[in-house]
Amino acid sequence: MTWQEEQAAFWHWIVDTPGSAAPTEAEKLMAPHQQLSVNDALGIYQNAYRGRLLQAASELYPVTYYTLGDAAHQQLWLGYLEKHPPKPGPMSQLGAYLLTYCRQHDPYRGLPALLELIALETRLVELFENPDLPHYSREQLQNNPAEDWAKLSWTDTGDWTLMEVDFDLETYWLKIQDYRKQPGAKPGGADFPVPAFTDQHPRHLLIRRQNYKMHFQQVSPTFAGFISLLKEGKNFAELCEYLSQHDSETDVPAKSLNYLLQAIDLELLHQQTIRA
Amino acid sequence: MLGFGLGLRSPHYDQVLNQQPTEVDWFEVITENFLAPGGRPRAILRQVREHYPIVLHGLSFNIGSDEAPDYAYLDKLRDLAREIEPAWISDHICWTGLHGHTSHDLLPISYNQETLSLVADKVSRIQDYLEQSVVLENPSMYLQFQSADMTEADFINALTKQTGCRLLLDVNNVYVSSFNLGLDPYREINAIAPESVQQFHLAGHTHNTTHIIDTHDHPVSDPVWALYQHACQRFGKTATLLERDDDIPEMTELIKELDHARQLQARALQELS
Ligand SMILES: [Fe+2]
Repeated sequence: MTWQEEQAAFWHWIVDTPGSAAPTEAEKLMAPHQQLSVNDALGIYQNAYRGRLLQAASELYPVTYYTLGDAAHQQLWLGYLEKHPPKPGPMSQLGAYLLTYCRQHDPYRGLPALLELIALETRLVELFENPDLPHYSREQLQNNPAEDWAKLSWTDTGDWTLMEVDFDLETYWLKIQDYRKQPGAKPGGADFPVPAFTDQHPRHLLIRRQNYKMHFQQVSPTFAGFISLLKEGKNFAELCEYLSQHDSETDVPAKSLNYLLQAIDLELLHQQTIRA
Repeated sequence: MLGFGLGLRSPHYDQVLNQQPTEVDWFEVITENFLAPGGRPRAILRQVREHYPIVLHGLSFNIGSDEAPDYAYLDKLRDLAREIEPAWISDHICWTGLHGHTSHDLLPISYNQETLSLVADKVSRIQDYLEQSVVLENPSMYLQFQSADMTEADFINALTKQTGCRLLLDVNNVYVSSFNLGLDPYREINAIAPESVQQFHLAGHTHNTTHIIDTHDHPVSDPVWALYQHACQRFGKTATLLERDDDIPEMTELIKELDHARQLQARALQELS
């Protein structure tokens, strides 16, 4: 047997084989052990592999973990990892396909609140390690001559995104955080549901990083549309045009400026360009 | 010589940055946690580097596999090293993945001539790409392959000689592997070529009567302290790093353990002279 064949067999036992390894085959490859059977020794590697990944998953998806509890968390992740074994690269990419997997598999695809939680935590993980770009400031905006304003457009910092939600993840998040501080709190132990929006939905969540910390908050549909267009690189005239279509009652240039300043204060913008 | 360091872990970030403890001479970081060019980890590392030497300790060289080096990883590592200027870069004598997948875990190599030439070739390619020699750590072992016909020490001595890489001797791992495989840990230490050792690791383990698991969730055990003292006598003044990855206590607790290591090494050196 070549080393590559030995590795393939070892890999199969610890990664692919559910439950315990196949002792007879393994014993052909592994030297007899002091006080531990070959099967138990392989089990140490198998447990280490699974334990490390489950631990990382609970840290990357803490609210999903606290919602599911240990047994369901383990069932979800072991099922997912069987279909999507980890690829080289940062551990933070472990759940890169989790949402897709859950949308395709029972019972997860029938649990819309869980799917939203997973979508949110996936985005939090993705944005967390994006490059740090300097923020565009109010001063930079004010330095523009009046004749350039209509042509101004911006690139964004790359550390924020928008998400449409049917559930009040903000409220649920805070309740889970409070629950975790209680004595005796344990994953799966919280008895409150993820509240659904009953009136107007979907709602828009702005997910962003500030001072190396992740935040998310609800924003109005109009503001969500405005900053989406900002992200697309639309210029100020086009942004005003958008607002006039959505809210013709108000002073459109003043509201556009107000929204633009909000975007600057939320540190969403990186640089300006002049585009006719 | 770097002196006595700790593994930098997130519960201690604030304390390290705000108090800059003088009892810690340097920090070792898990490379993979700091490769992303943005975000909090990299920002923290930059700040820590202003006050302490840093060693980058990774898990991704996958030197026991004949698959090509992961150049995307090595590129990021090279960028990180350019920015942080680590004292050295270390990884493990193991394999981590197969067929484009990774276990994120340290899997054992069968020690023989076939794997030696494969590992030596891979280490050389990695060192050429990084334009520096690397430091490699002996892992904890729970079993051996039937195909192994070299001792770990012979394998390591040949590897360091052939490639110019150096050894990160994890004293706890020697103890754990020796217990699990029925070997004498002192003989294992004595068989390592003295000139190959760059650094020591110390860590705690979990003793399950029939076997020991390398868990890094306890203080260093007494037999490992004794073995460390022996290693200090054999290898002389050597940079020492205390690892703790689980049940992480207050930093003062770890500093006490580090002081103990400092005293034991001083005593060993005194006895030598
Ligand atoms: Fe170690």
